[in-house]
Amino acid sequence: MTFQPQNPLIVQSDNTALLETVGPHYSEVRDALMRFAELVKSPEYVHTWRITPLSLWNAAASGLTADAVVETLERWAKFPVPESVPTTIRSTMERYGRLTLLRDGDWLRLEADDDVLMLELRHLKPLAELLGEALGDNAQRIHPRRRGELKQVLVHLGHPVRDLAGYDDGDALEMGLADTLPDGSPLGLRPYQREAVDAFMGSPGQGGGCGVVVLPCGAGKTLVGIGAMIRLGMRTLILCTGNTALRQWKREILEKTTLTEADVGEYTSRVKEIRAVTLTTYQILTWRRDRRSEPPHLKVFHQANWGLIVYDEVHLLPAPIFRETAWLQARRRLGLTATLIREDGLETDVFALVGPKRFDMPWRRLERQGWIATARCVEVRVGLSDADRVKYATASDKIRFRVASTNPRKGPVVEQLIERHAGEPTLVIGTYIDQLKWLGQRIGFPVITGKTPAKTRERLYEDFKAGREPVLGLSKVGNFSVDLPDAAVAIQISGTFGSRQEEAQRLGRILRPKSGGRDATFYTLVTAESREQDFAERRQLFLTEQGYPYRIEVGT
Amino acid sequence: MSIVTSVLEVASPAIWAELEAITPLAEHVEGALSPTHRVVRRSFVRKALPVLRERGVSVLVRFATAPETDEASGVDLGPTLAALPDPARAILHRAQRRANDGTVLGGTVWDPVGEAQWVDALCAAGLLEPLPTEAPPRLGPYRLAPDLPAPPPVAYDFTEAVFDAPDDLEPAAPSPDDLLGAIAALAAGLSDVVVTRTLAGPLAKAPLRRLAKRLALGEAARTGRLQDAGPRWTRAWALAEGVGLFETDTVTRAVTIEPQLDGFLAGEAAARLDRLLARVLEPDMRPLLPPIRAALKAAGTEAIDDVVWLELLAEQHRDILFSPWGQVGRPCYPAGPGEVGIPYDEDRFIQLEGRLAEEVLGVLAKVGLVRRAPGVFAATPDGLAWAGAPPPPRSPVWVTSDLEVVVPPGALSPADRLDLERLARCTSRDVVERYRLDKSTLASWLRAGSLEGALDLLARHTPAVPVTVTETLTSWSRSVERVVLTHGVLLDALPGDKSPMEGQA
Repeated sequence: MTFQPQNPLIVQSDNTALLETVGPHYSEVRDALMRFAELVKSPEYVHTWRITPLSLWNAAASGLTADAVVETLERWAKFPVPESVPTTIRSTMERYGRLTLLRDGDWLRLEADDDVLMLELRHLKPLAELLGEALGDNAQRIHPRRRGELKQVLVHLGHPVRDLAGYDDGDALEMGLADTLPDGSPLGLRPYQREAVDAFMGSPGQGGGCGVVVLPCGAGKTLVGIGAMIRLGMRTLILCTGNTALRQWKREILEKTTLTEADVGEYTSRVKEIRAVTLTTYQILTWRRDRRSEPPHLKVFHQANWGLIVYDEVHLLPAPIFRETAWLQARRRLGLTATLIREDGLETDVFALVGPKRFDMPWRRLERQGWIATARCVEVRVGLSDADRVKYATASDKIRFRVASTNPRKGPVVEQLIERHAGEPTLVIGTYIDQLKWLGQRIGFPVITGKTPAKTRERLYEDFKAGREPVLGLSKVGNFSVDLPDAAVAIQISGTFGSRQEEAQRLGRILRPKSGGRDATFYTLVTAESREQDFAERRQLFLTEQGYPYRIEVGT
Repeated sequence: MSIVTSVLEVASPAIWAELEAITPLAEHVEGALSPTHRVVRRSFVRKALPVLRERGVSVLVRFATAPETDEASGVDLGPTLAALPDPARAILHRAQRRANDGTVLGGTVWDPVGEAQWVDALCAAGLLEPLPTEAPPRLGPYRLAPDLPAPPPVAYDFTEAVFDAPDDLEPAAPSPDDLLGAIAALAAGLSDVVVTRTLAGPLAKAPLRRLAKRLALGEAARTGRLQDAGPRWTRAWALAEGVGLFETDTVTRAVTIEPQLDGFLAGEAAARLDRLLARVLEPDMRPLLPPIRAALKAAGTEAIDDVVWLELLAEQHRDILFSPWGQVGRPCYPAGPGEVGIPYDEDRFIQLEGRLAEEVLGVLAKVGLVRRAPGVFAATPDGLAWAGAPPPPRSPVWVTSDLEVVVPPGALSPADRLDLERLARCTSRDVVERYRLDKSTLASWLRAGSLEGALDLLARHTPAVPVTVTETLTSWSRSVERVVLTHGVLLDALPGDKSPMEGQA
């Protein structure tokens, strides 16, 4: 094969594939790649996909053959496909299905397709404690509680397991989608939400029932969760990032399903209800009396016969919940997130323990389809005053970042931006509470921080939604799961060093579709020629990779 | 008398206070040229600069460059050339075609007796200048006038020699243009990392590891052995040393780059491959290149029968390497005093010049411009480019908002590769090469280049440079150029004398 200029795909020997987006075959090739590769980034012109063992095993689980994968690559490649790639694909996909996990009465049974493989596994140190009694030359008994750990270790060793042991069905729960919303508008799952639920459920006999759905904020992840609950019809435990998020989940479940208050319980520091659908938070689950004691509330995982566990904002899953999740492999698990980026780099554990990524949709594609608002990202560079510049120059690195972040010259710029967007609901988001409060007083808007009482928060959210408060200040508490449907403008005045995940979450605050099809604008105020500017570039990386380029303005 | 000094420049006068807050500047300052320019003493570099850098102040250090001058001499040779008799003009053109670095060996270009009057006429017109020699008259070296227009191209017709490429053509040697691209990358790396040779000869491992890391050369970054980066890189290095682009300093053992490398790599494929050939071929053989090039162009993707080709060449343009002398009443090859010249006929042409052409084709095959089989030669893709065939379609370079540059094979000329390797950091070399634009590489670029040059480089190769990239590079350049120290600035007098600044800061 020689150079094929009309083809849009470049396959690299490191198993990445670059897809040019400007040609006529882009959509066709993208849809083909989605079946066996993971989208890594999608800036304009060239999208990067990665073919990983996990993505190939997922493809194999869905019935795709190695030949079909190789044929797709060769059909669309612009340059000859490196010889190593088909070889790797074939050898990787061949491994899927060689090990099978089956039910065996109260136990599980790990079967290998040949005796030599099982012999090899029996000699692997990391498996020593996980394998039970030998059942002939090619099978091994497994304790049901070691299922997650076993799969995790085997995947790390390059031996994926076809898990046909199935899930424990939870207690039945009859629920359906409400026909209309409280305001009378019709309710239904959007096409991509249905696709996400389908992807999560999987096809019969081919896995599914566990995994992660990646959708941008504002795209209706909650409804995907509700869709999965309805499809399964089983008791469900929902893990949220905090009490505000928990209450929003509860409100949506009550508004959008046929469930009633009696069916939906809260397990929080104040209330300990275990109902057909129970909502709890990561904080309460990981709370413990002292460093040595075990988190007492993890028992909630075992207090009912759950058929589904939903992990909201799964990229924030704390380590103790990871551990507990390893024990819960017989339960169906759904992770929901806007970004799988974890600043601690534990993305692979999410894959291994909650499940692989089942559904992902480029943000810009949803935007083009009108499901999320069109967003414009602008970085506004603000200079330091001469005095602050000297203060900055002589400060330590740590203090410098704070001096730059809390640059008082950002104040007038925020005022100008609010004035520029008069009449549009605006969020002012920051990391430093003093700075937020100072701006709130100066400009005259309320500020919500972690210390704001829940009732006050709810009232302020309501006032904001109703337009009584056109501008609302939010500290880091606003990073997650705050449902502010009408926020059209976000002004980020300071951030947590280089957190890409925080940047993505904050943009997500304004991505919900706006009435009248209005665009959303996301401003980041950055002190020019400072450490903050360097960190801002790192923070913006995730969004530029998602196809949200930043414009740069100079604040005056 | 002019004074060479160093000038510290800040983007705005307010920055002086910021610098003063970190370290006192007064003791290092000779005087102010303007509110934003101060002449500094050497002590600034020794004492203040390290303190500023330690405190996180970026100071861009540059060397002043002489302003570009129009080098055209303005000598108009038109009337002189127009006045030449035709035979003299023909000799001049012949001499131009055989010239190496503007000089020719008279005995091979003209008949020293039969064409003496025309040679003398050329000398009298100032178009040829005999160089000092002990050789008999008109046999020694001559220098051509520097501003001569190029001679008219020689027309060849080799279509009769073209036939279908046979199956037994040898595999092509590695693409020389690709090797020039690799040399460009290595040179960009060598301008950042000092690589040395050990006294025993091999490249020292530790600096080579740094170089390999800088250039994303995979395994070599771990082992410090260039061969672990793959044969492309060892070949490129060997070629660069072989043609004198890289040299090892005999005292420091550091590998240095030829200062004219940019010029060597510049231009279209044909021009840069010509420059490469000029370094690997004996100068006397170079006149054979134009007919070989014409043959390759005529053949395109087909092949040339070299016997037919030589016959056609003999028929069409007999005086490729030698011009005939009229001795003993018949044309003969140049001969020494008292020798009888070898007859200048077709048989001797095949025997003598045909053998030399064979040698040249052998060199071209080694370089990677032709593929050979017994009695046949054909162009490689690089050979076609060298012959002036239209370039094949290329994939564009992609520049994305996340500051990545994706370079498909063949998308950049070696000269542009050299620039891109200076401007951005390669993150992976695979089917395509991926580069990341970052502030530190832009800072390196700005030591000798400009922001406009960087943006132009990107814009020339990509359908569209995202606005974010332009804005980010602009903002980085502003940041990098906030404080600039320029060495080697030429002044008429120090600032105390109130003289205007003459040099470029």
